[in-house]
Amino acid sequence: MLILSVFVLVWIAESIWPWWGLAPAALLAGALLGTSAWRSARAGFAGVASVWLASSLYSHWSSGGILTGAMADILLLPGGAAAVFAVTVLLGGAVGALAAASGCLLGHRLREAVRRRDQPESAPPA
Amino acid sequence: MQWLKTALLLGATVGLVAAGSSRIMGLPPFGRLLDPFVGFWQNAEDVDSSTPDRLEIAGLQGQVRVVYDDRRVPHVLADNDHDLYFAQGYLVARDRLFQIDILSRVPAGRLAEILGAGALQVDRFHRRLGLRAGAETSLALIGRDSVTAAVLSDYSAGVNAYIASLTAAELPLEYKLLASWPEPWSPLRSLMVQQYMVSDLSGLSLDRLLTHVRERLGESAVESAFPPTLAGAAPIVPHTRGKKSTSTLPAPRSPFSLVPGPTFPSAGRSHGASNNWAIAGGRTSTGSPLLSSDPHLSLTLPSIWYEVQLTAPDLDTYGVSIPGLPGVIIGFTRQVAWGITNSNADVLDWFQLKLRDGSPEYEWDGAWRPARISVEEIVVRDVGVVQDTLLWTEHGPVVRRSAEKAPDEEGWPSLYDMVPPDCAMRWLAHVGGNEVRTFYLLNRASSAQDVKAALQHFVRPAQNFVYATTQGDIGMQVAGRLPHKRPGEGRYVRDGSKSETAGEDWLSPEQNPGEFDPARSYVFSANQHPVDESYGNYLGFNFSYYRARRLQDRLAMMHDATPDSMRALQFDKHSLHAESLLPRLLETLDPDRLRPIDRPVLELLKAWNYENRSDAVAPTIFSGWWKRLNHSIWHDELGQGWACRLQEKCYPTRARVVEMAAAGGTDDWFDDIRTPQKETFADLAQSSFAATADSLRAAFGPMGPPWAWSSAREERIMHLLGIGAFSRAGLQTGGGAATLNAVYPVSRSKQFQGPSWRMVVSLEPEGAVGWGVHPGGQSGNPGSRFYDDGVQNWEAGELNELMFIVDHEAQTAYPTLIMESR
Repeated sequence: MLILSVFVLVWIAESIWPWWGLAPAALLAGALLGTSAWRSARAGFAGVASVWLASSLYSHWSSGGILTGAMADILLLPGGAAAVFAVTVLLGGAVGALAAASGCLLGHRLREAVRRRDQPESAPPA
Repeated sequence: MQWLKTALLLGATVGLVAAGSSRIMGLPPFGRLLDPFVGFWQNAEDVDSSTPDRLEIAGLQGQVRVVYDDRRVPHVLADNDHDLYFAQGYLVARDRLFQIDILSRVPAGRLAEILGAGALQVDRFHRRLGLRAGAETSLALIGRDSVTAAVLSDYSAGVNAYIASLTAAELPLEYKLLASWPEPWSPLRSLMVQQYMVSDLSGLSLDRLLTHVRERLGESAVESAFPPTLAGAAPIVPHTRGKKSTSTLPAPRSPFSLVPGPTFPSAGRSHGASNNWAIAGGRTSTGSPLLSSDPHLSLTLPSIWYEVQLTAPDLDTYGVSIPGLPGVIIGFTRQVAWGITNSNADVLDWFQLKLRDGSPEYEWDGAWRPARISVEEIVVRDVGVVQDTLLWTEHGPVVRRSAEKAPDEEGWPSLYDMVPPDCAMRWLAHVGGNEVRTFYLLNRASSAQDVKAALQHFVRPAQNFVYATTQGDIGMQVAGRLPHKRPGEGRYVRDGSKSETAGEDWLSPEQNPGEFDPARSYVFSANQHPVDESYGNYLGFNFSYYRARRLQDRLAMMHDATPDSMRALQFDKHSLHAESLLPRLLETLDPDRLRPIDRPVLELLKAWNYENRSDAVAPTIFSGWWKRLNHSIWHDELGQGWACRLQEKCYPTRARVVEMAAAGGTDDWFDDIRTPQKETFADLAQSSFAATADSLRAAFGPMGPPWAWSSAREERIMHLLGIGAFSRAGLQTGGGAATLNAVYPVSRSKQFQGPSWRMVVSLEPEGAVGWGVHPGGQSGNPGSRFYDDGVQNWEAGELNELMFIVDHEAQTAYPTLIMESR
């Protein structure tokens, strides 16, 4: 569920905002649906990496891979086009993981704070 | 503790995003670059991409139809001039935005703003050349001509309309790599692009070298090594006397003062390698004239040319434009075709100054005169503003000061070697001109008279314009401002301390050489001497020789010519230089002194037909032999002192060596002055042959396929910024510096010079029909298949049909973009 939420929110955010838009999107997903930081990080990584992989694969295939190999040369990546995909997915995934995990923790802290505010002080022992 | 953990993770997220958005140590911002939504992936064009069919743009007055053919050449059909040039600017920006930005930044000395400190010295050099001042003068001139001012303004508005519409995803890839964004365009930036061309075509001078040689070896040595003319030359306009001789001109104002004494530096430019010609209907199969234009420039990707059709109520023209400039520069209308080669006339002179210590003053008629100071503020990315002081004198700017560190220490560009220190530069590039007017009129020409009228406006630098018409006329006109030199003037650095040397006389346009419908039924130019000695006015000596001879030979025997005859001649790889020199070299070699290992090399040369084919081995051997021989002839005398840095750039022409060899081969130049004995042509031929064979074996192994001409010299077309992955290597085109298909490396760099646009036009009575190709494509985007789709045809010597598309074909036969006012 969290992975899917990250996927959808990040896709929407990237279509509207500059590249950094993926971070608040993953953060929001983590804050709303994250149960633990570790799980949120994994879901954030997988969600953003999927978005970036799907989108870059589409560009690669629809263009006949016209730029991918050249970019491997420019970025000095051994391994050609595959390395460009790997770096792309890793970078997007890393941002997604960090954002979702920090969103999850931030959500917990905020919910804790709200709970504390809303709970009446325990009555003194009789 | 939990809050701390949360804050740390949030900080790490923000840090990673910030790092991915920033240039760190000059590296691209990887987050933005790799993001599939806005990064480089977005520059990878769909294989079956189509252009949008409708655009609403603020600034148009009506509707523009842009029909794209299968090579994505835009055929722009507009209802008025404003919309036509607006659309041209918009379309060029869409296809070549980064290129026009760079082309305008080079002469302005503004590369470091986007490239950083590595470009600072190049920027400083270009600022010192004073190119911006020339562009500003041109802008003022154009401002007085409302028609061309509007053309420039409309074009600029079109470029800016595109820039305003640009999204992060659409940004050209080079900007993404540099983390930069295009700044607004302006008419001045267009004129800086023009200054780029003026500088490229007229920007170097041999005055420093000749002065150096004169001071070491005497004036007779200069006249011997660098004669103003050579026997057997084929001038553009033969038998000039009686046509437009300048002998009737009043004498120039005053004798000039040569600099006595001290030694000055500097050096040479290539001869250029462009060709153009036209043949009259009497020599063609159809009875209609044929015209060929084959301009040669540095080969880059994207191509320096952008193909376009421009159609409006008062014009219908097709050809190539220079990105950043409005109009068609080389092309044809329905009735007229024209082409250009560089005249190579000497329009750059140096004046030695006596500068006052500690003060920006120079001696002028015995008194100190203050130089005008221009403080140049060079913005260097990641560094800040670096100031440089430019001194302007009565003659022009001071490019180099003797107190400055040597180029090696400072990293100045190699051009710096050509510049004598503490000298003022007088250069045609500082004189403004309204060349836009010339092309505005050419694009509307329908007769030879129209062409002649258009060329009257051309100023900088002088070019050889060939033209032909559907009325059957052919002509050649040297257009542009030519200096009226005083006797002996133009070869040496002059004394700049006297007012009598200031200012310059120019020929009036009517005195420029030209010919119209000559009896021989053809006209041609190949950067050779424009005139013969009877012209009576010195235009320079640094002219091409063998390509003109070859052209003359071929055209003189041409009958029933077809467009394909023209195409074949453009692709001609026959080396007249080799044909003139190699037999003499071979006959001087002593077989008894040859090593057995060298005999097969010799046999291969003996069997060579002088064709510089890409797969042939003989051109590699001859070229290597020639370079070593040439070096051994001249290096001992000319390559001394500062001039040793110039290497082959300071050596006389190929033709001069052949002339000396033909005269017996015992000229003193053949003697190596560092040895006690006297060497001859035969001695140098023998020693350089063995050394050539050794060096080729060392480089490529035993004689075989790796020695093949194109492979050995690694033919390629480099990207504008030298990015290897965006360049095209492994080309197999052949040719050479002294062949009509003049593809050759620029000095020792990876950059090649060659045919930048090959065009053939048949001027048939029902309308001009054209063919052409350039070594690139219409798009400047390395992620587009139209980036280099022309290279294959260019390499093979094939031409594409150049079609006029008419309005009723729009939206029916071809993909059409409708541009409308918002």
